[in-house]
Formats: sequence, structure tokens, C-alpha cells
Amino acid sequence: MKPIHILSDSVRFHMDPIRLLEHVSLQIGYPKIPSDRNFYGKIQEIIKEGHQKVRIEFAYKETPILSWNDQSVVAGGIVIDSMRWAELVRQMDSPGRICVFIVTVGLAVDQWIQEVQGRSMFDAYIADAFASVWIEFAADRLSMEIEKQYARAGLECSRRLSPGYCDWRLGIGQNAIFKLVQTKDMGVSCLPSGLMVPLKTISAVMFTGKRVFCKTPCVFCNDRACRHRRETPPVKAP
Amino acid sequence: MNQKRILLSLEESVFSKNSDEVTRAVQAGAIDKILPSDIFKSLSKGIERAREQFRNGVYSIPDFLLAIDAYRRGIGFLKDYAVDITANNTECPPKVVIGVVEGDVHDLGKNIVAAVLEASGYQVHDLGRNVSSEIFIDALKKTQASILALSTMMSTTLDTMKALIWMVRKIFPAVAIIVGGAPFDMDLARQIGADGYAENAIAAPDETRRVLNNISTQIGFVA
Ligand code: SF4
Repeated sequence: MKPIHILSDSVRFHMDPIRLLEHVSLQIGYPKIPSDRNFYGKIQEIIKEGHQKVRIEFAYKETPILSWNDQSVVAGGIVIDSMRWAELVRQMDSPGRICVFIVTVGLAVDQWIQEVQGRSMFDAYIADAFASVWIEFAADRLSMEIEKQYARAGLECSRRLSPGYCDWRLGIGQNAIFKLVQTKDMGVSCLPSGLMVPLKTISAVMFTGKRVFCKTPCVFCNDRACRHRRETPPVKAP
Repeated sequence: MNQKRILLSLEESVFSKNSDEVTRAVQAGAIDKILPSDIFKSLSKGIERAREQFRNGVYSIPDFLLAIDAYRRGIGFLKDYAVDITANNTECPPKVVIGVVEGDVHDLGKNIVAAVLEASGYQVHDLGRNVSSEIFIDALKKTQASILALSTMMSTTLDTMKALIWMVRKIFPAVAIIVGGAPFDMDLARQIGADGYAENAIAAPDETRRVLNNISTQIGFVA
């Protein structure tokens, strides 16, 4: 299988086909790539079809962190109302800037999933899983790129936080992000409910500073039932 | 193939997730001699058996969706011939109005639920996605449906849903309301005033039946 290259501006989005297949399988509830040939063949066909539709676009902005308290973090042009992430910033050494990005796989993917539903629910389910895997991958890839750029300058980054996760409310968070980042050119819009169109779009913010001791606030979060928990033991301050 | 074998083959093809076999069965010569309602029943039986397999952990969701595809292939055949599947059906199937509430456009789950409910014998009126409360109320009025099925994948649309449920309770007290989507569990469903909650599409027919029975008992009791 040939590797997939999707170029968007200066960031290269490349996903290994086997890894993609594994992730799509996982997304539809199979811990391993399904062994049934017929099944496997169908998934491969949808993936092939989907690749014609994926067009990754992103918009990005960074702005200095101006202040923080135990409720929120204020940066130039944006307030992040999250007690948990405000705590993360409080624990940082010299909080510097926040990076905000919006990334999408494009409207053609939404339209494709709708079309596919007309012919087959199974295909639509796989198509939806494929698009979810791609958008998560694109957001991860961008986060890594941001982290790399900051590392070059001797700085560190938190993981990404999206509106609707932890205690950052969806509507408030999307509003804040969409005020800061221009998305007209990339064809992304946000409904009053906080829903982004195209559906397979991720908006997120990352916190940067001299030392980021906890990459997420999970270590000091009491929400034991959280499905998104990423336990990161705090790095001891020197 | 004789009529009985065609009907059995339709049921078996849906159950074994084989759309091509459904096509083969409907292309068999004697199909036009069979009552559309019998064809519908066979296709539905196939889905019911597929649901059973899912409940027993034999079928996965993708397996079940392949069965739905096979079922839809058969139903498509009936629709192509402009056949009213309820024409020879003396029982009047319960009507369901279904849609994704305003502010949300995620409709894959809702579409699967609509197909499963139809296969389970409900007459489904699908209003689509991002549907305003007025359109839901209008549809309930027009169709005289006994069930309202609401879906959302977002937490920010819950207030809209709650307000809609409140209105429906006032205007149509006999309508049973079920909800589904990512934010829900049974507690949240109750909190916003729904009668029931379908954890997934496969559970939707059982939950719909349960809330419908409950509401009939209540109405009977009040009367
Ligand atoms: S456990 Fe969950 S809610 Fe708590 S900080 Fe981690 S991701 Fe956020």
C-alpha cells in the first residue's frame, strides 16, 4: 500500500495506511483489523473513496497569556473559562502564550458521508469513522508541529484542549475561539449551539511556557469517571 | 422459487446481511404474486433476528448495519414498484415522528434508528436534522403520531430539547417521548422530561414499545 500524502500549507499530513486501517477498525468497534475478507474489502473501498474527499485546512493564531486566576486564563482577545486548565497554567513556570487552531477535513467529506448514507448505512458508518480518524490525526499532527516549533525556542506546550471538554463549556469556548481565529477562507462556521460545520472539524487551544509541568490537568482532577483522562505524572520542578 | 421459499429467502438474506441475495430473491419470477405486506414481514423478521444476534453479542454494529442495508434493498424494491406496504395490513402501525433537534446536524445515528423502527413495524416520519420545535409540533399535529423520537449529539442543544418536550407534554399529553444521542443516559433523559432513552439504535424498538405501553397505561388510568 502506498503512503498517503495530503499537503496543506507548510504542514504535511501523512498517515500510514495500515495505521489508518487499524484506527478505523478500532473506531467501528474492532480491536484488530477485521479478518473477514469481505468486510475488510468493503472498509478498504470506503477508505479509498474517502481519500478523494479529504482536504485538510487549518487556521492558527497565537496570543500572549495576560493573566490567570483559579477560574480562568485571559490571553490577548480570548478568555478560557476552565478552572482545571487555569490550575495547569498556575502550575507552569513562566506561562507565555496560547496557540489556538481550527482544523478541518473539509465540507466535501460531510457531503460524501451524506451521499453514502443514501446507498448504505454500513458504508456511511465506515465513512464517518474514517473521517473521525482523519480529523483526530490532523489535530494531533498540528499539535505536534506546534510543540516542535516551541521546543526549538526552548519552550514547552500543554496538550490541546477543545471546547466542550473538561470544564470548558462548548458554547462559550467555541465563541471565544471563533472570535479570535479567522475561518472564512477555510469555509468553517460555527452555529450558536457551538456545532462546527463541516462536522469533522476540531478547534483547540494549547498553553505554552518555559516549563509545562503537567501536560493536562488530569493529575489534579477529581473526575475519576472521565473517559478522556490522560494521566501524566507531574514532572518535578528542579 | 415458490412464494414461501421467496419469503424465507428474503428473511434469511436480511439476517445473513446479504443485500445481493435480497436482490436475487426479489428478482425471482413469483415475487409479484406475493402480498407486499408479506414481503415486508419477511424483511422485518430478518431484522428482528439480526437484533437478537446483536443482543447476544454475536453481531457487531457494522454487522447489524449490513443487515439494515439488506433490509433497505428489499424495501427499496417495494417502493420502486410504488407499493404501499401497509395496504394489506389490517393493523394500523404506531406512528413515530423522528428528528435531530435544532442546532445539531449529526444525523447518522438518527437515520439508523429510523430504519430500525421502520423495520420493527412503526410508521416513521423522519423530519431530518436541525429541525425547529415548530416543525416537530406541526408534524405531530399532522400525523397524529403516538411517539416522538428526538436525537442530539450535543450538550448545548439540551435546553432546546427540554423546552420542546415541555411543549409537547402540554399540547399532546398522550405522545410518548424517547431521546437518544451521545450526552444521554437514563437519568438525563428523565431530567429533561423524556419517557425513555434508547442507548443505541438496536435498543430503540424495545424502548419505544416500553414507553408506548407505559403511556397507554397512564392514559387509561387517568381516564
Ligand atoms: S480527567 Fe477528564 S475532565 Fe479531568 S482534566 Fe483530565 S480530561 Fe479533563
